Formats: sequence, C-alpha cells, structure tokens
Amino acid sequence: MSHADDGTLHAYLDGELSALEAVRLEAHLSECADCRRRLAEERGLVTRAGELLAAAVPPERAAPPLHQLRRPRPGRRARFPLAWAATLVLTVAVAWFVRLPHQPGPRTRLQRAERSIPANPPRPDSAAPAEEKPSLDRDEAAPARLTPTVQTPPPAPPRLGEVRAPDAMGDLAAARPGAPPGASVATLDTASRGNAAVASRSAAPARSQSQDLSASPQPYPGTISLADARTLLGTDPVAVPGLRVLSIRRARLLGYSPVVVVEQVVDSSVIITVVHRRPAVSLPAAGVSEGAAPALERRAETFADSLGGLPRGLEVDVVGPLPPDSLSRLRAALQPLIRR
Amino acid sequence: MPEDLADVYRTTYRALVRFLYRKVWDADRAEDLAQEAFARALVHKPENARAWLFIVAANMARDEARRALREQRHLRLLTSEPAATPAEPDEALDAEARQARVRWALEQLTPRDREVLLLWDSGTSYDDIAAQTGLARSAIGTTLARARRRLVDVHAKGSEDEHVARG
Repeated sequence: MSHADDGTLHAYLDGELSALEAVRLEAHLSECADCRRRLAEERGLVTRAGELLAAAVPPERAAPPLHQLRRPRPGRRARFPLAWAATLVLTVAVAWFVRLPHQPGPRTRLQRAERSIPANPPRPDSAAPAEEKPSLDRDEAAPARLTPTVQTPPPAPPRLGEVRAPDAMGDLAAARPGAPPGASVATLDTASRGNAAVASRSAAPARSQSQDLSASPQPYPGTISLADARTLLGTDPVAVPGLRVLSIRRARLLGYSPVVVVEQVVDSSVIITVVHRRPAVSLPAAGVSEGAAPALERRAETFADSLGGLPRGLEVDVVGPLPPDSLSRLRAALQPLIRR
Repeated sequence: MPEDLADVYRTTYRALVRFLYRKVWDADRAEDLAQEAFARALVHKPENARAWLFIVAANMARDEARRALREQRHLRLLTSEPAATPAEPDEALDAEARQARVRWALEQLTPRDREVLLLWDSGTSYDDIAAQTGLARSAIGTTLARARRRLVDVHAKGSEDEHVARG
C-alpha cells in the first residue's frame, strides 16, 4: 500500500474504515514511520477540533417529553407555519423623513397630556374587552381598532407616565390648531397619539411576551425610556397608533443623527419597528434619505404605494413573516397615518 | 420497521439541538427548531428517523439563515449602541469569548466542509453524511480532514492576531 492520504487517516481515526481497509492501513503503518507520524498529527488535529467544537455548545436543558410535541404548545403553534412559509416572509420598509428640524407643537401637546395624568388615573381594563377598550373609542384613529388580536398586556407598573390614550388624545386634539399645516403635522399628530400608547406601556415587562413571536429578533441593546427618546429627538418618538409597544430603543443610523426605534406588535407573529430619526440640520433631508439608504427608500416607496400613499417622515420595518391577515391588520393600523 | 421515535428522541435530541445551535447561534431557537423537527417526524414517521431529522434540521437552519440575512440588511443600518449591561463574571465572559472565536472560525470554513464537520460532530456516520450532503462516502474523510485542519488553523491564527492586537 502506498502512503495513506489524510482522508484515510481521518476515516481510520473516526472508526469509519471498513475492516479490510483498516487492516491494510495498519499493515502499512507498521512499516512506515512517516505515516505513523502523520497519524499522530492527524489524531491531534481531530482531538483539537473536537475540543473547539465542544466550546460552542448550547446550555444543557432537559428535553420536553416527546408526547408534548404532538400538540405544539400554544404560542408555538402559530410560529412554525408562519416561520416556515418562507415565501410569505417579507421585509418591507417604509422610509420617509421629517422635513422640518423641529416641530414645537407635539412637544407642547405631550406636556399637556402629561399634566393630565394625575387627574385621570387609569381605568380598570376589566371594564371592557380588549378590542373595545375605551382608550380607542374616542380615538379618531378608528382603524386602529381593527387590531383585535393584539394582546392586551397586563397593567404595567407606573413608568414613563401612565398616560391613558383617550386623555392624551383629547388634549392633543384640543391643541392641534396651534400646529403648523402640512403633511408633517399629520405625522406628528399621529406620532403623539401613538406616543400616548407608548406611554401607557412599560417597555420592560413587555419584553417577556416577545418570546412568543416568531419574528422577534434578539432584543437590541439600548432600550431607553420615553423621556430619553424625547430628549434625543427633540420631539416625541413616532409609533403606530393602536399597536402595543414592546420597546423603545436608541439606535444610530450610520453616519447620521441618532434615531429612536419603537418596536410594536401587530399580532402574535408580526413585530414592526418604527424608526424615527431626528433630521440632520446640516444636510438636506432629501439628500440624507437618498444617501443613507437608497434601497430602503425604493422599498419604502413600493410599500407606501401598496398602502395608497403614506405621508413622509417615518420608517416602518416589518421583521419576519407577514401573512396576509397581518398585512391587512398593519394596513388598518397605518391608515390614520395616511393622508390622501 | 421504523425505529421507535421515542428512542431516537432520547438519543438524538441533544445532538440535534447542538447541530442547530451551531447554525443559528441561539439556544432557544435551536431547541424550537429541534422540537419542530421531531414534531414533524411524529407526523411523517420516516424510515431512518435520525438521518431524516438532520436533513429537516439543516433545511430549517438554512431558511433561518436566509431570514436572518434579510433582517441584517436593516440591522446593519441601525447599529445599536451597546447597552450598559451589568458586569458579568469573568468566567461567563471567557466562555462567551471562546465560543465567539469558535463560531468565527467555523464561519471561515466552506459551507460544505462546515456541514460535514457539524454532522460528524453530531454523531452522524460517514454513510449518512454522504447521503445527506451528496458527497461520495470516500470523500467524507478527506473533507473532514480539511475542515478540521482549517478550523484549528484559523482558530489559532485568530487567537494569535487577537493577542497581537491586544499588545
């Protein structure tokens, strides 16, 4: 037998040579010091590779009983059909950017909303079914009510100011005449409304629920409070009204100003991220958007077209599978943002 | 006669989770996918359940990777600032760093070499690896030899560079 090749040596070390091949190899090894040396080397390699791989193992956790897999647990059931319907997986981004560097209106309005807090303690949620919460009844963003499957979170600990949506909205509506006209006003009005919803939730407890969402990415680091988000943007972060807020995070669009990312739940399988960027004063807004992410902008236009014309000033990202019913739900939720 | 899936589950579940983990690098996700693969096996009752499970798992991980890639397009734009995390014990950090280095080294392998190596490390025989990857059985040893060498070399090189960089 000629010298053994690496593959043969590895197969031998792995115990995967046939009996005949093994006998032949051993016969050769007995008279070839060179191959014996190589065998020792390869053995070291096999051992070392095994050691390295052993450093990359998940934590040991007990396997659930097999019979439990027969009926996938609630929460998972919805995951897999969606997660594996790869063709349904869409990543859509709606990007548009606030043209004006600052809008004094919303901030003022939100401050008014905050002042209304003590006078308007949260009403018990049990008084009404989730999808007909009084918080939405007076919301002129009526289509937001078309999100009946959004889980009603348990009452969050008081944080970020427990603003009840209707109270905030009442104030916001009253304050609107003071705001300048234009598309961005509509956006920011909606932003403030959405923000009321943001305020009614605490980001931290919501995080645990996100585990049931197939599309949930690993939580980004950098979760911040609503107040921090305001400081960062100089205005209120934008959120889609009527959708539960999972988290508010700080992020940075490479090379540009800081952005605030609000993560919201459309339904049990779809999370959206709403990206709100402070306009870079030194750069023309249009230039920023095109320079930053032309591809994003293009996709944004497509998605905006499909929605029948979104205003500009906000970016909505759908991460993960987007089945048709979730898409319609999302459209409904976005409806208040659309100015025709 | 089909193997008793309960036996396969007992002997293979951990290996399947480990196999998936080294593809998706998320322990929860790896377990979910492994359980989903077994749930499917309960329905399909495949003849060679073990081999079938690894094929299904590999496909799942591939879909997962594609999805992750799509998400990355966005995440790359939104580079989050690191959160102020509470200090972790050095040990945990060390383990994490070790794992990150191995992960990085694995990613330097060609997809095929990596697949063969991960399948072998999950206890899959040369015959089954050949059947799953479409390689000739006689090529498995050579592939493993190359994969192991590359993994070890790249890992050693990476660690060296790191030391140099640290000064």
